[in-house]
Amino acid sequence: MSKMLRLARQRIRTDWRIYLAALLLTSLTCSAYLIYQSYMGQVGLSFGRKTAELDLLADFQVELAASDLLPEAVQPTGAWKNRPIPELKATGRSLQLASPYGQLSVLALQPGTSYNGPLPLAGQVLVNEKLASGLGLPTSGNLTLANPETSAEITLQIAGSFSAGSTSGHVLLLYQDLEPLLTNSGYNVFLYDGADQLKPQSALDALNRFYPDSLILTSQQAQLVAQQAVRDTYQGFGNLVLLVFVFLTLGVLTALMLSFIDSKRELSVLKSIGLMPRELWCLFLFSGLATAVGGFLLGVGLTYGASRVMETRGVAISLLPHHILSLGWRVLLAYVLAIAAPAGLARRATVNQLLYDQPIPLFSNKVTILRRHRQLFEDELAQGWQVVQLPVIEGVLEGFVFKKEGDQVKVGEVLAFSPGWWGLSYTEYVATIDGEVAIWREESGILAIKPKADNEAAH
Amino acid sequence: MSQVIMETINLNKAFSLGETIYAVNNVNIQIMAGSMNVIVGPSGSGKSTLLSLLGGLDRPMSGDILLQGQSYRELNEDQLALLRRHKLGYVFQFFNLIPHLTALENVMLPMQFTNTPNKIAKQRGLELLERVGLEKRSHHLPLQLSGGEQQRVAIARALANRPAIILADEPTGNLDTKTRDGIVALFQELNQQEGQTFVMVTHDPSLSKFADQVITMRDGVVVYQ
Repeated sequence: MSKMLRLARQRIRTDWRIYLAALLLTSLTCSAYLIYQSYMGQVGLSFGRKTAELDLLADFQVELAASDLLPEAVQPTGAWKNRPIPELKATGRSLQLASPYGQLSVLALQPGTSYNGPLPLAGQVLVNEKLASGLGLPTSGNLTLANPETSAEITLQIAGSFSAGSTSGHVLLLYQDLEPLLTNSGYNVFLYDGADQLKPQSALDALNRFYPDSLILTSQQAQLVAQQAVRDTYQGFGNLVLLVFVFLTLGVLTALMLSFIDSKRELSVLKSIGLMPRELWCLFLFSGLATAVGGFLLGVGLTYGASRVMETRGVAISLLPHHILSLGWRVLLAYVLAIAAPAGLARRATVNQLLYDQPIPLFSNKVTILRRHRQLFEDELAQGWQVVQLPVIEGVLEGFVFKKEGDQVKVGEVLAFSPGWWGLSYTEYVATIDGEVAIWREESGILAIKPKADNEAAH
Repeated sequence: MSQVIMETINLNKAFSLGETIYAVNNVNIQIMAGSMNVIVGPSGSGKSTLLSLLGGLDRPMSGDILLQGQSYRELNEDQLALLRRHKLGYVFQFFNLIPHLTALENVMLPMQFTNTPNKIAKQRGLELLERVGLEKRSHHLPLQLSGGEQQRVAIARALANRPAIILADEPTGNLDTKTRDGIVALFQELNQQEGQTFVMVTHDPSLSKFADQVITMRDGVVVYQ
């Protein structure tokens, strides 16, 4: 074991550039995966948990019927005075509106909603800096926004610009200014801190008493709605995650194949001095897994670092143990799959194939019997002959025969060989009896061996 | 009377290079323990292929090789690797040292596979390097050594696990005359003083001069033994 670890370390040291590339690829994949999972968790899967700073990433909107719209932030009622107070907010809505500068993403928030900076006043709009520079949107004057479905319009004063990485592309206004453009639906969010021991049923009862005509969802129900909405909105993202790991597998496979090609001579030397095929597996496994673990730890570390930096900017990235765990086994699976090909090739290859760059087939097959047209050789087969057939395509023999009629053969001897699958596989035709090649027909690929006993009897 | 240490039985190896080429065709040879054996013949006569088969570096199509009575055919790949590890030493024409290991580490490498304690492996490695006259170059990387020195390290590596037989493929083929003479003398010394069995493929008549057996091959067939 220790010698394999030592050899694996030597391999990594020799091909450190290749392994570094694989490690960086792994760490970036890990980081992207964790950030993505964190984002997904915040928009839906962990909905209902209060976050320190409510921003777009933490905000998820549940659609309510028009009659259930709550235009103002919900205030706690007297029923909860002696209880830990939940935070209940209708945060607002995000939608696309037409403007003289093209279609704009509009974020309308309730007053008092926590955001990465000050909210505009009533009748005002704030423009994202990037949007302003991208679309040539002015940062002063008026901006007219219209609902393309109803043609209803509002005109707001541009009060200035704001800068927010995660919300680039939005203009920001108050929810109440948006109301004239809304049709028959709206979005309201009720968030409460699940950790404050508040009984959800008490909260629900109180809200129902206070807003008897509204549809109030518990966090659990809201979470289900949110999850469904997330599934609908991000349908296919799961496949995207899968694709990311497919790319990781292909990337690592490419790196390890390059390393294999680069170390063929070294591997041939190791084999020539007695490295066993199963030890070769271990060698590839250890050097691959070391990279996987390194990349994984670096990726988690990078994400942690990014989360700390983003936290100072009001964006929460949560590193959850189950996300890290699921990432771990995905990375492991990707590496095991990627290791299989180069390790398999190294294991199968003879020293000469490695040393002299000869093709290394991935698969081999031994043929000892006739599979088709057996009825044509019923008599011979009944007398113990061995008959095999090489592939003949459009009259051309696809293979090589090492024997000719009259040659003696022994059990285990390779009679013929046919390549397949663009050199990735080959088939050997092996003698199962001692005897003499009695028939060889190139046009049909038929090779038949007469048993030795028959031969001798004939003499 | 010395015993047969290695023998081939109807050994065949063919390649499919557009047509079937028998690189080794029905070869039957015997190698006596403690003898110096040289395989000669024109290029393409199958000398190196035969040596590869003897070294278990390639599999024959048919026939068998016996090393101290052990049949190669009965061995799976892992067992064949163990045979190479314990009983065979192989010297390549182009040395094939591991470039990022020092001369000493290269010599110690085969001993790592036999779980020889590091201290003992190091001691033996140094002894072997001294034996081949490279004790002062033990911490040099192969690139810092001349061709002759690299070949000496390769010979020391082949001797590391005290193999029953050493197979050398054109060991002097890539060396200048002076270096070649040194290597020839080393082989002669190891053979005559320590009774090490050698099978060498060579074009070098100076190696054939002191061989106990010269095996001449042509077109894959042994024409003179």
